[in-house]
Amino acid sequence: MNPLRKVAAAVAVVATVVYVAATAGPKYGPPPTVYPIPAYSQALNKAIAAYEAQVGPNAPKAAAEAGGIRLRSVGFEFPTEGRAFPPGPGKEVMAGNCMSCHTPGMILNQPALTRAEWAGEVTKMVKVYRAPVDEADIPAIVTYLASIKVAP
Amino acid sequence: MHDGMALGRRGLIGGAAALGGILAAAGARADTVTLGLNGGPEQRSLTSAFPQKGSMILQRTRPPLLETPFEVFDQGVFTPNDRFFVRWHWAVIPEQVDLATFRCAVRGHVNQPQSLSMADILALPRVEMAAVNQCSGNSRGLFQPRIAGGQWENGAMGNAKWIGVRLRDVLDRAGVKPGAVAVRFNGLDEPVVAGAPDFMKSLAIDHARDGEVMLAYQMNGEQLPLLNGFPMRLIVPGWYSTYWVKMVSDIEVLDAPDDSFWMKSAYLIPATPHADVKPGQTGFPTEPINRMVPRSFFTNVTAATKVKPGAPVPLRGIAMGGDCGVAGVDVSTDGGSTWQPAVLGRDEGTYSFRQWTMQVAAPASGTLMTLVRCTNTKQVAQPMEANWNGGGFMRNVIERIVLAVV
Repeated sequence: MNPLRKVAAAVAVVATVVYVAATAGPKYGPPPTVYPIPAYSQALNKAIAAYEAQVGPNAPKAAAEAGGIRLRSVGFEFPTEGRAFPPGPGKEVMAGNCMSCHTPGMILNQPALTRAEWAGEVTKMVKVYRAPVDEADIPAIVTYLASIKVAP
Repeated sequence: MHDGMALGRRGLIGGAAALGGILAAAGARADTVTLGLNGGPEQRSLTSAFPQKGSMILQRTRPPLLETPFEVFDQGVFTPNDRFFVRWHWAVIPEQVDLATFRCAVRGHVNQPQSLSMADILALPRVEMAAVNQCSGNSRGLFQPRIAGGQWENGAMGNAKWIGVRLRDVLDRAGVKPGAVAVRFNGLDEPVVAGAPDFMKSLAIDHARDGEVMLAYQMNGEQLPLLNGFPMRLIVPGWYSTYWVKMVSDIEVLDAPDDSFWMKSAYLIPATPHADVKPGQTGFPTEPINRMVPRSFFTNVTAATKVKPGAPVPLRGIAMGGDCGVAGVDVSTDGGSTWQPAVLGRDEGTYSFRQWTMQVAAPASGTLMTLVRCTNTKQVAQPMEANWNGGGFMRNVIERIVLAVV
């Protein structure tokens, strides 16, 4: 770096520091002109590689860059869940209806609820969140849920 | 006071054994964690199977609910990206985001609708802010009586240095028309079932234009992990995470109040002090959840920590002011009759976590009970009694921990 540019860089740093120090609350600074792009973490590199594997080697420009920040397109695959429901009457109808929107952990991690609370949850899922459950299946689903976790 | 208020985790906190009068706690199995959820279930798996995520408490695989193991909060006031909590409402989340095609619309009650690439966003003036992102239902698993929903302990929160642009600057590109009342945000996630309410949240126009609300594309010096909202998410400093819409792809300026499901019917709290009602109570007014309230936590001790008789016990933790800064953190060893001020760590900004430290003395025998209380700069202090509401929202009771003297 030539001496003039060094001076200019030092002035820019001081100006930025003064500007930031004089600003209360959030630090509003001018967009930096020279901003080293940090090495990507291993996790980010993996996500970039996953994206590139998904779109193939001839994919179009996969980054956005300005003002010294470069964002890279990323991809991944959802892990699957291995948890199983305990046996009981209504298990199949419950699993067949409920697992399209969420995995078993959502139910298995719930505390014990009263039968009325379980009925309320199932009704909410159907009426509010539009779970595609046949009205006729609701009692069996509630019975199964209450059978695995019920509060007095 | 009910038992659920005690910090009940029984995991080993790394490094705690090396401190003063604190003895090593019994180790927990590395692949599971025991949360202090009164009435259970308390066991959760730890998982590293999610992209751009390290070891996280698995609350639900899909849509993902991943909780930050609490010992992470002892490592500093900023939560590493790979340990930052994750919460999604709907299971249709894009498995890739391609910046060549990603666009964010700015439309509605504006003069010039925009379709912005991330390069357009990156070219706008850049701002940086430290801010805590906390789920409305953080600590829901500690409510008594228990409530259905995500069964979080205290780790559905995190603090990061966010870099991005002021929402106001983005709105100004489109030119907000007179008469605008709110701005609604939608992301790339979608419901599984047709007709189910797409997840959208809105802010009043003056809030959206206050110069603090941001669209962030970096946290802690790196682009956002996909599960935390890549390529950009809304940052609403001091407000609960439900407003911090992830993968923001649509910004709609409204000329009438937002009456869509996620504002009108979900995330409602009782409009009562501390959002507190009695179980079973009805007939109270409600309002959308909004500003956060102060909280403070112990991070270097758990209920499993044992201390030596008469020994000095160094305590350490984090605090947040909620919708303003931390004015002070106080510790009590006599059940809340008297309080001693803790030493505060570096101020990283109004909306950041702040570390606190304090040394207390263990009694000769029995137990050492300590309480920690944050008072914010609006002079709002954490309450002694836990609140309760049907959503399991806004818990901020004073934390207490009971250490055995051995």
